[in-house]
Amino acid sequence: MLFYACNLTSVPILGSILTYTEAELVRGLKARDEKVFGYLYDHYSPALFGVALKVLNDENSAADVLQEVFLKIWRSIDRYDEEKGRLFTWMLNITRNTAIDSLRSKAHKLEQKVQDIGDDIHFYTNHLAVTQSVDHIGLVKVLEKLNKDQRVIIDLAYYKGCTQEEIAKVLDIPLGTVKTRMRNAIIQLRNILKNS
Amino acid sequence: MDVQRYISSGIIESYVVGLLSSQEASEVEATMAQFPEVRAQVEACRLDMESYIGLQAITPPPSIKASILARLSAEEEEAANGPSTDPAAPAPAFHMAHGLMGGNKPLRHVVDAKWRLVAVIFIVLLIGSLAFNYVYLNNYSNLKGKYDALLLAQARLTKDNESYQTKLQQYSDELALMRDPNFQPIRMLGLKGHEGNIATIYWNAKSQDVYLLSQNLPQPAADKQYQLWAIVAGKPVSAGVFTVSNMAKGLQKMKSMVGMQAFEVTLEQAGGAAAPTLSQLFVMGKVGS
Repeated sequence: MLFYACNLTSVPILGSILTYTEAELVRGLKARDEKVFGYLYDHYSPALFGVALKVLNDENSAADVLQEVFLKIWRSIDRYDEEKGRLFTWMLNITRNTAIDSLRSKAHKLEQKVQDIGDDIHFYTNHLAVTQSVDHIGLVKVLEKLNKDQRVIIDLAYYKGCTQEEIAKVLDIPLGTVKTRMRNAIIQLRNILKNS
Repeated sequence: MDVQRYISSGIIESYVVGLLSSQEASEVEATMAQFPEVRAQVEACRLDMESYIGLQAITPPPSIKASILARLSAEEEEAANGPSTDPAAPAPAFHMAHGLMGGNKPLRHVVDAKWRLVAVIFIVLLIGSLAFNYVYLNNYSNLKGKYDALLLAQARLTKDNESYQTKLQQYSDELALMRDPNFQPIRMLGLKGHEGNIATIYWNAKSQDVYLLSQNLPQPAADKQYQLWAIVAGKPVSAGVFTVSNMAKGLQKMKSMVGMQAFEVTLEQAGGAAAPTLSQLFVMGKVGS
């Protein structure tokens, strides 16, 4: 259940007759196959939209970014290199980079980023009324078990594109310990994910 | 390289969450290519992050898909047809949008027609606006010219009016003076060699005011001036110099006098003389004659 968004290669999607492996998706996109693109959108857009939304904290900006991302995927599929990582990883990178570029163009202050990270539980709870795509129970479990600093270090780095210096400042820790803190946070996350 | 130490340093996790500089990230990618263990760690870490990200997935508004498909369709068609918008170009190679969106119309043509219409409307409005601008600018220039001319005429009239008022005041003052029974006119007539020359003194016996009216005296040279004299007890007393130019046609107030038997006018150096130059005696009139 937890892996539904990333493990598309092995888990059939409910309500979908067709399933594709990543290799098939890549081939289809390169061949300009409309059905494959539609499938890709239907099955990946919630995860990508979730990233854009977490980065930007604004639905309209996130929607603009999502459009941009799918156009980039379509235009630059030939530049996707299987050797470097999976298709989903590649698409997430495009989404994160596009969204963070958009965030930077809005010149958010560090305090605002920290504030955004803190506000999102409330934000996601509100969204549940209109969408079922957030795995609410899974998310709440993770967020409960991950301590605040661990969440902040992951979210500020991934969703807000913060530098090691900024994270050291927010968490008030020496710059040299940011990487090991990050490792500990991810290991904690891994344990929580395994046990849920 | 100590792979275990590298793995436990946290650089892999930092790489996966995008914390590293691009230079550090390239180093990690090089290490991944070299050490399968590192690569496996990176992949495992990615899966964790992607699970976490997946938990926060949110279905986007449904309109976005249609919007993306429309843009892709337009792009594909443009790529297929080249930059030309020749309506006779071959049918678009990319029909995804039509099939998926359930529409039968060629999307780009609908969009194009709409934009073309909008563009035509804007161009018409623009041309209309330019024409109006031209007309209004011309009107404005005309009116501005007329307005300036009116301002000028008005200024001239005001000036004329002021000068008429001044003259009117002067004439009415002169008329009042001549009508005043206290004023006694003393005509000074031309002497030998100056026949026909004439000037008149108006003298007020009460106030002793003396006014001179030059009626016919020749225009003197620039360095000369006429001087009025009163003969008091047989001796000439200067009553001041005066001009006969166009600027001083009316009555001119001279020095007050009393007890004189006659008035006379001589031509002297400009500024006047202490005693009259008798050879230049022009006119003379006796008081009470």
